[in-house]
Amino acid sequence: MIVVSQVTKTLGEDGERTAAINDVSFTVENGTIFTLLGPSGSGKTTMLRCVAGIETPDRGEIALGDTVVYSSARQINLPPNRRRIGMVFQSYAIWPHMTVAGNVAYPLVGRGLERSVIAERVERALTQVGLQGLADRDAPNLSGGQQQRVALARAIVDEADTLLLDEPLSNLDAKLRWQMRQELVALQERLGLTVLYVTHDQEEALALSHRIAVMRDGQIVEAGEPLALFEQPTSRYSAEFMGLANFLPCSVASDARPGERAAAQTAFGTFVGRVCASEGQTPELFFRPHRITLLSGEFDAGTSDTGAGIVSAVSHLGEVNDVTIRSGEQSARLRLRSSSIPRVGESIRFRLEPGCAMIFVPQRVAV
Amino acid sequence: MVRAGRPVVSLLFIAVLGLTVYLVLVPLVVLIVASVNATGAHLPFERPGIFIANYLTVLRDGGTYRLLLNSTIFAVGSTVIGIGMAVFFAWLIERTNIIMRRVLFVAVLVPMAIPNMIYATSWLQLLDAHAGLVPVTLAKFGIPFPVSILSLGGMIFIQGTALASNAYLLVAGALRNVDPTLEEQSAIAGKGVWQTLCRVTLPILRPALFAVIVFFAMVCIETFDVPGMVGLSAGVQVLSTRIYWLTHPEGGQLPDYGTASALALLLVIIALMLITLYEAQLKRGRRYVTITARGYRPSRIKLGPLQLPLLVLALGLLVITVALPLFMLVWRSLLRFYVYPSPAAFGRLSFSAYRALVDEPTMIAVLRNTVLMSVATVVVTLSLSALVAWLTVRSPITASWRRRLRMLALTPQGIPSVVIGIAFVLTYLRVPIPIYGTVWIIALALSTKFIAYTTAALTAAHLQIAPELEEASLMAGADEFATYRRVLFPLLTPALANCVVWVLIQAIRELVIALMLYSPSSQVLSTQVWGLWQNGVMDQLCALGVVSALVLAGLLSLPALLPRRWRWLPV
Repeated sequence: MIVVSQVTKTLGEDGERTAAINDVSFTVENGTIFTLLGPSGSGKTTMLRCVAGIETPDRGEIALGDTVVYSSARQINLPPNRRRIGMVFQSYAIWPHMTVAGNVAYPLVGRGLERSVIAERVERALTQVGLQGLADRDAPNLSGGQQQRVALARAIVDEADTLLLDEPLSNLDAKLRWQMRQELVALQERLGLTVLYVTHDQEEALALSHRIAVMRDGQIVEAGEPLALFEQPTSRYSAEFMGLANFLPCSVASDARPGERAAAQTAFGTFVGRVCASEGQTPELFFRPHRITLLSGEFDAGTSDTGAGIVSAVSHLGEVNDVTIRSGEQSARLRLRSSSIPRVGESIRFRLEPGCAMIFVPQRVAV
Repeated sequence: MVRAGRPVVSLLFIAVLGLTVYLVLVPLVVLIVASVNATGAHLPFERPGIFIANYLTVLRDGGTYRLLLNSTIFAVGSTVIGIGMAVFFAWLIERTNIIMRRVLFVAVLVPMAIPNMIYATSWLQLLDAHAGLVPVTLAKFGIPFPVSILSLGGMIFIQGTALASNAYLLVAGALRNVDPTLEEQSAIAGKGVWQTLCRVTLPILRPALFAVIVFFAMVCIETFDVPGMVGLSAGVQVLSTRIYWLTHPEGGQLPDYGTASALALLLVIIALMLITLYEAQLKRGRRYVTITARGYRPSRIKLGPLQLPLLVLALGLLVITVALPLFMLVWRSLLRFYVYPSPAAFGRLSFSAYRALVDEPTMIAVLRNTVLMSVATVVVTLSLSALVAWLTVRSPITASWRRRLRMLALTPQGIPSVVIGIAFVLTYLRVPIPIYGTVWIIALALSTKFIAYTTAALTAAHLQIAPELEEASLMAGADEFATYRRVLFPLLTPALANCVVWVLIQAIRELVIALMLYSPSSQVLSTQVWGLWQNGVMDQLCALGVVSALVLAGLLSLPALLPRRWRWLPV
């Protein structure tokens, strides 16, 4: 278990310090993958490095299981080499002057272990990551995917139960990334690892996390389970960051309060959604472009959760079609299955799947 | 001072800072005190008080302005000759399709193995007005040889051609850093070879080239070897030689440390001005230049009909500046008394001078001293600058303190050797550490001189190693020192090996520091050469020169013999 409480960290020279992490708290349960998701500069890597001990926070407390590894109040700061954490760096950090076996054996050497024990554990770690037989290869002569696996083997060889992964897949090509993602999840389950994972790729985060925390400007905007975060985000920022989204200007009853359901009137029609406070200027209706179905037959103007518009652009993306519709000044994007392709200029009607809309209301209105 | 509780690292930092202050700052402070405290027959610190007499002497004496003028003419002239040759050869070898490129490349670099003293010796004999090879040969064709090598012009010629090979390395390096796509873009825009050179390559190169010029002007201002050897006979003094002769007067006079210190400070000020200019130019140059992928060779300029004339010019220059002095050196070393080279003279050749060197009873001591001195210099310089580089690049020390340490370690770049020499003399006359007159004081002074270069080189090497490689080691359970031993040290090995060779070569070649600090029991190779020159034992001098050149050539080719498995790191 990793428990981070109220950690703050500033970076820069004495003169001009900027907060890289501002009062961040979260808990990673045993045997789960917890992802810090955010754009570059959001503080996610700094947070990970604070847990690793490579960076020292200014305030707060970090505990690994029962061990407090950092506490500003109790003046505790365990150096990284005494935290017993495995870590995979974005650049893999494979030592070029060693063989694959030398890299993987590194954490075990110098602890009075028998040579045979070390060799056996290195072989086991290499087998776990699918690199059996490559032990004697020189490290610089490996492909990106192989280096990634060596880094992973080195992180698990000491059988630490906590693993920190800093954008481990971002340097791989798309196909390999998908494969390594599957293998990472399988490895985590097999070894029961507690993983803190950092990425800027929301798809990756959705695919492998048990929990995701969306970060912005050094703070956690929202944390939750992947699907809930994707479908029912409670902040406009994470709604936008997690994937393609429509934000339609709308009008809402002035007494709508956060958490309640309300009807939002847009240029396309009226839709029911859950009200959330936001920092925006005007109320907006949020829904994901794929959460709609096209309607055929007569248009019933009064029905809630249906809308109508004129198709202004269509792109065929293979499995789906990206359709832009307009109504007056507003436009919305829809994702439709290939079987139903409207033409540009055509009038269409659609229904929004129930429970898929959120209404972001400016805070001052909501209060 | 230190970020997180790492007491061992901060103790180490304090120790390294203390040692650097001791090596660099203490002698400088002593020098400043001496310039205002030592007068006439009084040594510094003999009596209290501050006197400006030395400065008055220096400023009132017309000779000072003569010295400044000589130093300036010498530096400017030598730099123009040296850089001119370097630019010509760098352009020819790096950028054109000249034939025999490898031969030219090696030939240009050969003089690096010849100590400047030896090179000067060779020229003094080649151009000797009465018996010199060149005047005598010209006279046979009825051509008078109108100039004397024993003059400021002669000094400039020798120094200029001697520094061409070092300048070549820097100019060629700058030329290689110019992004070839910038030139290709010009070619695509329809510009010819000549226009591309004048409108793209040279303007891009200008700041870097100017930095190289300033660098060598600094080298020439502070150098002692050539002006010391030629100037002695020619009766021409420059700042650096004047400071030496003030502290080593002939005819039993007392050394004038006060005036020498005041002049030394003047030299420091000039050097500091030049180094400031150099740093500024270097910074400007970096903005222009992009380092391209290694191993990429831009397309070469086709010389066409110019091929032959340029080749003849290049070979001619190399024959004059490299082959002729080398031949003279070897020829003279094989003759007891000089004979004009002819088939008949071959019969007189013998190894007697070499045998005399071996039989010389002091020679063993000189060799032992040289080895001890250069190895001690390597150990002190490398361990200190490796620590400084580590502490200033990656350690948990706060940024402002790291900057202070780095600045301090780089300061000696701006302190001329002759100044370090006199500062060490004055310091260790007083400091109760019994190393005065031993090889250890020479090693300590040389370490002060060389620490700037090795710190800069090792810092650059450190910066090329991604910090994650060290962080990964910490995460794997190794502490800072284990990380240094198991990850950093192996990765730094090529850079360290290069620095070891560089320091060894410089320590063996360096003359003036050893000359100011040696005693009869701590003679080293360079002071022995100086002694042979003063006593006029030319055959042994040249034999020693041949031996030194062979040793230095061996050392210079060491980096090329590095094991293959180190090749992944750019050196």
